[in-house]
Formats: sequence, C-alpha cells, structure tokens
Amino acid sequence: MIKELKLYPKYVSMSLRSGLSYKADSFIMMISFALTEIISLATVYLIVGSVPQIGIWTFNALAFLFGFTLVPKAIDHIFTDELWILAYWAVRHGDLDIYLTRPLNPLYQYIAKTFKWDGIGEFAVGIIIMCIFGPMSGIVWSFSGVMALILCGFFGIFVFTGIKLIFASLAFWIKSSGIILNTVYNLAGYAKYPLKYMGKAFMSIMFYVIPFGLMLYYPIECLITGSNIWWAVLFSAVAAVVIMALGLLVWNIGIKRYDSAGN
Amino acid sequence: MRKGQIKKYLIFMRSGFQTVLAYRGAIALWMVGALISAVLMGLVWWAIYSFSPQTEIAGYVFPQMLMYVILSAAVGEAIYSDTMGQINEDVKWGLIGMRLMKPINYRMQLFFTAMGSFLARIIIIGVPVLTVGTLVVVFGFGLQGIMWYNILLFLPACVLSAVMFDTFGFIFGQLAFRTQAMFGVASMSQIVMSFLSGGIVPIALFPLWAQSVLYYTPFPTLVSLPVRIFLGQVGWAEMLIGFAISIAWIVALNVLAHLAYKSSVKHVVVFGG
Amino acid sequence: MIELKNVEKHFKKPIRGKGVWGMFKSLFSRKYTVVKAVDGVSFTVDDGEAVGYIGANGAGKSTTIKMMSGILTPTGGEILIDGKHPYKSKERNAVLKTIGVVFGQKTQLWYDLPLTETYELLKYIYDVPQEDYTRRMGELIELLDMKPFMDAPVRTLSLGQRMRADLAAAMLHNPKTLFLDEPTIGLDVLVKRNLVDAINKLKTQYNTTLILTTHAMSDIELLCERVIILDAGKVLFDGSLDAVKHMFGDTRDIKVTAKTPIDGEAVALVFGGAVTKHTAEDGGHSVTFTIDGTKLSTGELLNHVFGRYEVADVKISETGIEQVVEKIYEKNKNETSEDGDAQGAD
Repeated sequence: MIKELKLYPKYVSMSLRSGLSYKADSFIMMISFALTEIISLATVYLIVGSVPQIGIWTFNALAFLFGFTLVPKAIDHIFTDELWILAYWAVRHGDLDIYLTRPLNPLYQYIAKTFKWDGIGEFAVGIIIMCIFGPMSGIVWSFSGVMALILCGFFGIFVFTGIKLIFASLAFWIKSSGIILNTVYNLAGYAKYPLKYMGKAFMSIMFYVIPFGLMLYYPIECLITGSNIWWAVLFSAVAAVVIMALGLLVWNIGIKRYDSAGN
Repeated sequence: MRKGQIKKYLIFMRSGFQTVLAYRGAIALWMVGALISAVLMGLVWWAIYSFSPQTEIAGYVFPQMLMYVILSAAVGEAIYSDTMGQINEDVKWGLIGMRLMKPINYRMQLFFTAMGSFLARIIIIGVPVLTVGTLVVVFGFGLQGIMWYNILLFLPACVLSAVMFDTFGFIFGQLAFRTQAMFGVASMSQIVMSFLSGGIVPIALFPLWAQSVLYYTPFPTLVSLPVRIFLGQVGWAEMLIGFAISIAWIVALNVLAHLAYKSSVKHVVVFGG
Repeated sequence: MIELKNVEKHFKKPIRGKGVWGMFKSLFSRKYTVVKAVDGVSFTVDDGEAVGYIGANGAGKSTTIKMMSGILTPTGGEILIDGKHPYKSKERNAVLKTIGVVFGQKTQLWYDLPLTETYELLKYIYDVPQEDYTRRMGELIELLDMKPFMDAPVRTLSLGQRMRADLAAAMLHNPKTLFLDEPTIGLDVLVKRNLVDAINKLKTQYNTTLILTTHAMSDIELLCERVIILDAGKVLFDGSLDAVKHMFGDTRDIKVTAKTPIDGEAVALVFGGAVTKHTAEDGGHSVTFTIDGTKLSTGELLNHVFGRYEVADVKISETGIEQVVEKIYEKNKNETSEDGDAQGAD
C-alpha cells in the first residue's frame, strides 16, 4: 500500500506528460464535459420551471443538488477513467497482460496509468453551481452541515468507482460490458431529480441497489428538510465500503478468469 | 448520377444495413439503455405533473409528455449515423488518402452507408419500440389523438431527419482532420444537437425568446417535428412548411458540408494523410 | 528451478445463440464448450537452461508461458517457480520479481514518452537500487545498442528497436528467468538476426534461464539447447536440440533438375541408406532426394550429381517445425496404438 502511494505521483506525472502532445484535445474534452453538464442543468431548469415547486424542492435547491452530484463524479472521473476502457476494450483485446507480470497490484497499475485532468471541467462546473445556488437554496447552513456534506461527497467518489469497477469487471465474463456499465452509470444522472416523488420502486433502487440516490440525493434532502444529515454520512460510508468491497471482489474473481485473448 | 453509379452506392447502403444487423446485439443493448432513460424521464415528469396546478404543461398532458419522451429517444436512436466516427477512423488509421483516390464520392459513400443503417435501425429498433411504446401509453395511460396518417407521415419526417443528422455528422467529422479529441467533439455535438432539437425536453418548454431564435435554425426539424407529427400536434399547413424548411436546410447544410470537405482535402494534401 | 506438474488450462467458450434473443440468452445461459488449451503438461527447467517451447498455432505454448508468468491461472495442476506459485495472489509479487517477460506482440513501454521514463518507473516497481539501476542500464544500452533512440518517444521507434527496448525493460531488475513469447514475430531477417544475437549475449552475460516460444526453427537453433514440442495442449517431445535433429529434424529434400533424365535409383545406391527416398518427376528430368543429414551432407550428394549430369536447377528444403511435429505426432500415435493392442491382448 505504501509503495502504491509513493508511486502515484510518478504515474500522474507520466500520464500528464504523455498527454502533453494532445493538450488541445484534452482541452476540447474538458469543454465538452463541462458543456454537457451545463445543458443538463438547463434541462432541469426547463422541466422544473414549468411548476412553481415540486413538494419540498425549488429549482434553486435542485440546482444545488445538481452541482453536488457533479463533484464526486468528476473526482472519480479524473482518477479511474481507465475502467471504461476495461469494460469496452481491454479484456476483449487481452490488454491486461503487462500489468499481471509486474510485482505490483494489477488493478492499481491499470487505474493509475491514466490521470484525466480534463475531468476538472465537470468539477469546476459543479463547484461553481454549488456556490451560486447554495445561498439561494433555502438551506440553513451550519459548519456541521458543510462538514457532513463534504464527507458525503468523499464517500460518493468511492460509490462511483465501485459501481464502475463492478460493471467493468463483468467484462471478464462477457468480454465487453461497456454498454451495461454505461446504462447503470447513467442512473447517477437521475439522482439530481426529486427522487422522493418519483415512485417508491425507483427510489428503493436508487437507495438500496445502485446507491446513487443515497449518497447524492439524500444528504441534500436532509439539509432541506432539516433532518440530521449525519445519518446520510453514515449511510454513504456504509454504501461506499460495501460497493467498493463488491467491486474488488468481482475484479478479483474476474481476473482469475482473464484469458488474455486477442493475439 | 449514372445508373451504374447508383448501383455502386446501393452496395454501400446494403453494407450499412448489414453492419447494423451484425451489431444488433450491441445496438439493442443501447436501445434498452435509452428506453430506461426514457422511462426515468417519464418518472420525473410524473413527479412534475403531480405538483402542477394545471393538467397541461406547455400544451402537453401527461400521457402526451410520456409519449414524447419515448418517441424522442426512439427517433434519436434511429436517425443516429456513424458518419462522424467513420471519418475519424479513416483519418486515424491513415485510410483517408486511399478513400479519396477511389473513383467514388466519399460523401456519397458515407451517406448511403448511413441510409442503410437507418433503414435497419428503423426495422429492428424503431418499429418494435414504437409499437410497444404506443400501445402502453395509449392503453395504460389513456393517450388520445394518435391517427394512422400521423404515424404514416412520421416516417418521411424521420427520413429527412436522418439525412440531416448524417449531414451534421459529415460537417463535424471534418474536425477529425484537425483534432484527435473526436470523442469530445462527438459527445458535445450530440448533446447540443439533441437539446436544441427538442430531443431532451419539448421546445415548447423553452423561453419564448429561445424558441423564436431556434426556429431560425435547422434543429427543430430534426427531432421535434417528427415527434410532434406523430403526436398529432402539427396541422397540415405547418407540416408542409416544416418539410419545406427541413429540405431547404438539408440543401444549405450540404453546401456547407461540401465546402468544409474541400478545405479538409486541401489539409490532407498539404500535411499528408 | 521451474516445475510444471500436470498443468491444465481449460477455456470455456459460451455457445452463442443466433439473433438478438440468442445474444441476450447467452448472457445468462450456462451452455459452453470446453477448450483444453493446455492438457496435462509436466516438465522441469533447471537454472541457466535455455528452452525452446514450440508447436503449431493453438498448440498451447503461449498459454503455458502466460501461466508461468502470472497472467493466467491454471485450471488444474501446479506451477512452481523456485517453490512459489506465480498465480497465487500472496506469492505473486515474490515470483514476479525474479522473472522478466517479453511479448512480441505487446509492449510494456509507455507509448508517448521516451524510453527512460518507462525504465525509471520499472526501477520503482521492482525496487531496483539506484546504483544497480545506473550500472545495469549502462550495460543494457551498450549490449542492445540503444543509445540512438533512448530519448525518442516510443511511438517513433521501429519494431526492431522496440523489441530491444522491451528486452531491456524485462532485464532491468536482473531476473533469474526470461520468458520470450514470439520475440521475433514480424521482424525482417537482418533485424531478427540482430535480436537473436542480443538475446544470446544477455543469456551468456547474466546466465539467465531462457524460455522461448517461436514459430521459427532458426531462432531455436541459435538460442536453445533444449526443445519442448507441444501439440494440442500435450507435450509431444522433450529433449535436447541435437536429439530432435537426429530423430526427426535432419532430413533434407533436395530437388535436382537436369537437362538429361537422372537415374535416381543409381544415385541412391551409391550412398546406400543415407538417401531414404527418391521421387522422379517430369520423366526423370527432376528428382527429389530425401537424405539423412546425419549420414550424408548436401554437398556430397550434389558433388556426385554435378559430376554426372548437366544440372539446371537445385532446390534444398530443410524439414520445418510443422513437419517435425507431424512426424512426432505420427510416431506417438503408432506407439500408443501398439500399447492399446498389447492391453487388448491382456
């Protein structure tokens, strides 16, 4: 573990310098991610703008929620984007060989080699939106609330990573799991809507099965209703641990089935 | 075009058709994903309508909005053309030089391939999804006003949309000659086009100033027009004008595509393939 | 020491249904066929040995190498490298520090960066002390003649340069064993020759154990003392290179075309048993002699023929790996069927 941590800056620097020859391209990607999210926010505005208020949710509160969902997503994106390649490509083409022959955790090597700084675009959009709509959201801010929210966001990163790891590792069984991963990952986009009013069934799925709702939506709902947000912190922590453990388990079982195909 | 040439291009059309059939599993999975998204958007709208003081939002009652969401997802999947991706592949692997030398018009080759793929997508995705979707919304949610002639007229509108989408793909595809970030260009152009053409929410929800600006662009004819025709919201006069505008834009965009392509070819000649 | 004990690797290939529903069903169905890529392989390699591991496409040679180097987990049996299993997560790292791997078709070099960057990273991954790293890097650059391209991004290297750079990457941590999977694939003759020389130098300088798979018999002849031949996942033959040559390999087909008909029978009689076969074509104008290379050299035969006939053309073909495998396969089949008969008599 210590070796992995010590090596990480080296990997980041290599990845950044690798990307130097494609600087303009990364910039386009960054703009593209940011623009996608801005359009997404405009969509929320248009939909929600058609009614005065959805139960406890005003547009300002939903916009704040929207900003919050972007932050853990962006951080996960920056660090573990290579998992998408695992899902779509790497297993099918036998690209994991070289990581398995080196005396260092293969999953770590695989993920560490790509540092996607272009995810900063999403991150910045998220933070800016939170700063704009935070004061207007009707939330009564306290130090404890902010701390709790930061913790929820932190655990949220691991829920994103864990979900990606679980469904990307499915590729060890079905060769290419990208489309399935994409479908599941897109569920995160619905945690920015008022889940409370979208039906019991869907809410249960988003809380207990693919817990994007639990770690993205629930903390903000607590802040708005004034319930104890520390419950949300606790649930997020549990969800993060469970999902990550599940992800590592699926990876570890899957890698034993890896067949190094594609020669 | 001479007769022999048309025959040549029909071969590309067939290959586009067959490519979709070969990847039907993956395309069907994409469609499942898009349908899940449509259902979830339906849930969002359900929440909105339950808090709305009126039964209508921007002229849509809930069953119509539900149908709108499903239709726009299906139209989006059906008219999707891989022309941009194909140009990117040809540039990336250095095949473009070879393609340009062939006595076959590159644009036409890509266009007919895209039309073949559109035909296959309509058959394997469009028809089943729309049949099931319409039946569910009509009998499960009480949607009214769907007429057989609307469904019939929906088809030519979709053909125009597919042609326009492919033209956009060809125009944006020219960027492949200048950047390697085509994944970004593709996702950005798609999300922007989808949004502006009413693929995510109906254009009627946009602020009035935005609507009046949008009607000076080709986008509303891309998704909004066919979907509204299907829903029976477009009168005969508006429909004819819509088709005319759509065709005019397709011609204009193709002129633009031709100019952009000519400049790209110069780029290839100067910098090598 | 490397020990393989009755190693098996089976791949399950799902049976895919046709059509969209078939694809959906195959996501969940349990139906599959089992392909036995490696089917009960056992052998031992001592330190410092150089082993050529050969067989036709799909014989299971890459699969075996991948199991020995920790990429694949065996379905059955046991692989021990100095007493440790490369595929067990707790023993993995210890084993991997003692081996180096080069794949002809895959590179471990960082694509957009100069070579030194990858080597620096490997230094940390393998915990090579700075002093050893500097000294060894110097030796490898010298030995593999890498100075001209050390600072160029990997993507600009030629295939031959890239292979040498990959060799250096695999040797950086002074591995006891070097695995080479098709190292010469796709290289032209001269570059191939250089690479084989370089591997030979590495082997003698560092006394590295070498295990190599290849298609080209010439690679084996230049690099290995011992040959293991694999077919359909089973070991067909395991012995010295000389033994292979003596038993099967050293036959040559010499096709002589002359202006007047050649009396093949007469020529064969002169050399007795050394000419095992002669076939005439084209009314005797061209004759193919099959000779035993251990008893008769090509030169002797040709001298004889040149002295008697006006020769227009000569074609010499050595027995290739495919023929060797075929011969051994036939021989084994005969032996097992004899065993079967004997048992039947009981």
